[in-house]
Amino acid sequence: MTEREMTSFERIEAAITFGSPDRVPLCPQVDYMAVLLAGKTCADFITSVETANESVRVAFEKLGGWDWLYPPAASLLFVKTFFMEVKIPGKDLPANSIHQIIEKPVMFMEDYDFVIEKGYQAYKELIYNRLNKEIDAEEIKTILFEIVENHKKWEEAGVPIQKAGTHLLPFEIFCLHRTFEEFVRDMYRIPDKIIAAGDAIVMDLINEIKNSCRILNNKAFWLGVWRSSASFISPRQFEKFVFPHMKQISVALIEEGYRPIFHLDGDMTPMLQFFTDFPKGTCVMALDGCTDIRKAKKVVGGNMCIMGDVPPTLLCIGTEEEVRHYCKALIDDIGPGGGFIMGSGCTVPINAKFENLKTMIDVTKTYGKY
Amino acid sequence: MWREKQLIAGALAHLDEVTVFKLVRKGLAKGLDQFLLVEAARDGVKLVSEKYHRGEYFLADLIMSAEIFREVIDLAIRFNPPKVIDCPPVIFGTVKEDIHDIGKNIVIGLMRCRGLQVLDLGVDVAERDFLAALKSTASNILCLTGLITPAYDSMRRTIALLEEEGMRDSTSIIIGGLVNEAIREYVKADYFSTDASEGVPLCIKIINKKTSLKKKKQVKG
Repeated sequence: MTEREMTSFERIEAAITFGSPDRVPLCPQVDYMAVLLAGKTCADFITSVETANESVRVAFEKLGGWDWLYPPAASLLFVKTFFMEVKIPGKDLPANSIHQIIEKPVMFMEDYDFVIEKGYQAYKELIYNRLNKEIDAEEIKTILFEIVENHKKWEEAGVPIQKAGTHLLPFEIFCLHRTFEEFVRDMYRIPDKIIAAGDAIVMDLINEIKNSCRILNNKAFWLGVWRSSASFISPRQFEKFVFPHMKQISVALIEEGYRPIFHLDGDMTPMLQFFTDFPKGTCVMALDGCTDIRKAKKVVGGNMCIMGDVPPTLLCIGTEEEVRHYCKALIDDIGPGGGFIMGSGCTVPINAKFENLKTMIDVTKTYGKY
Repeated sequence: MWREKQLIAGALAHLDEVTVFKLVRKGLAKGLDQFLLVEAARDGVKLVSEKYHRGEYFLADLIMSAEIFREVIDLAIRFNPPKVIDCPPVIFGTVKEDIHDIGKNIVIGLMRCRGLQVLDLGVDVAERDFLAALKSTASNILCLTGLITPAYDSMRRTIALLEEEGMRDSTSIIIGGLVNEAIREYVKADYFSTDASEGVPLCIKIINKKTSLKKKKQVKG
């Protein structure tokens, strides 16, 4: 027990590095839900950095604040730059819908050879061309400038920002661009090509992450796992196609002081053992409610900070009592020994009940004291 | 034939595509019944499904088994077109405000492999479009899927519309995607399924039950 209350910076740092936090830190990934609390629309949220920031500020105040802030304009930046077709609220979707990613084939079997021969930058250009997506460098520069300024203000006010960018492993990139069903065929029919293409881009991915962290002035970054879980592939496929690049990227960056946040959507329970390979207190494992978080605690709990995992379904249709019970159980089971951050399973859904999220925050602040 | 069947099922259970095709081609060339060869491949898919349920196989393996099975059917179809289950199509779609379709396409592929006729309405399907499809095809099985939480209200609205139109009692409704028992209750569906290998047999079971009830009514009438 510390004498004074820790700052959010200290609390988060203590949880990740296995120090002694004064209480379980909080990181509900409040994104689109904030716009409803601020009386704006999703279309506003996705087009204006200022609106996104202001909406999250309103939500932060109404909910009583938390420790680690999901970047308010993360979705805006993602939609503008992500190399897949994205349906945008207010443009392709109703103004109060969330953005959605369209999975359609923009990479073909012969493109593995193209990647191996020409590298990552040429591949990105190829995909952007096929998507008819033009990145306006000047616009992105302005957006990044605004984001950095806003992040500074949050941090000056004592609220650390969770991450710089969202980055993908080679497996995820090719899988999304090929479409899952086609990619499954590739895994069985041309496995060596997938691995060789991944090898060809991995150094560029490391540099891309460094660059994004430098611009956004944050050493933490997301490695998004969306298709690499046991909800999609086997541990054997994970070991063969995913983990070598995950380890190569993460270890190279950890050695230079960067902090990977493994954003693990889907059931990662059979893959947990792989995560014991990383140095103690250097990474965060963010779970979404599909992985057995108690098993995660047993397997990696002494080595890697676990964040999660109040499920989106519970936040949407559960009662306050159910949320209270779920959070208390997490604090009891995952909290001991530090190395735990109370988080939402993935981002908080737009239609989460306000009182449920408030309960998650309040319970952690009171019951979560060490 | 018994040995060939076992070999095909075993090769498919190991997801050994090359061996499966070699054996099926050999069987066809020998003049073996193509439907028995397809049955053998289906046994293999079943073994894959069992391994999936035991946690030994994963979705990618399930998809690959369906892919090999689909190709076996294509191969055999040259000899005789597959017999489809004689009933109106299952109406299938991703509900309004959601455009995720991987799971939907997998299930539809498996349904078609099992001889079910499916009317795929696509993604972001409006409530009224589900209703119109049920009316125009005289179908009484509706599969609604969604992977994001706003889909729950779209499912609920679709089912409420069926209720308003007096079609709820005659329609069996299965939901899939990011769902569970609480969501099934919330949207007022009859069943939920998060697993293609369970959802397809469930549909067939419902069809058989409905067909049997219809026959009983006809006998009584």
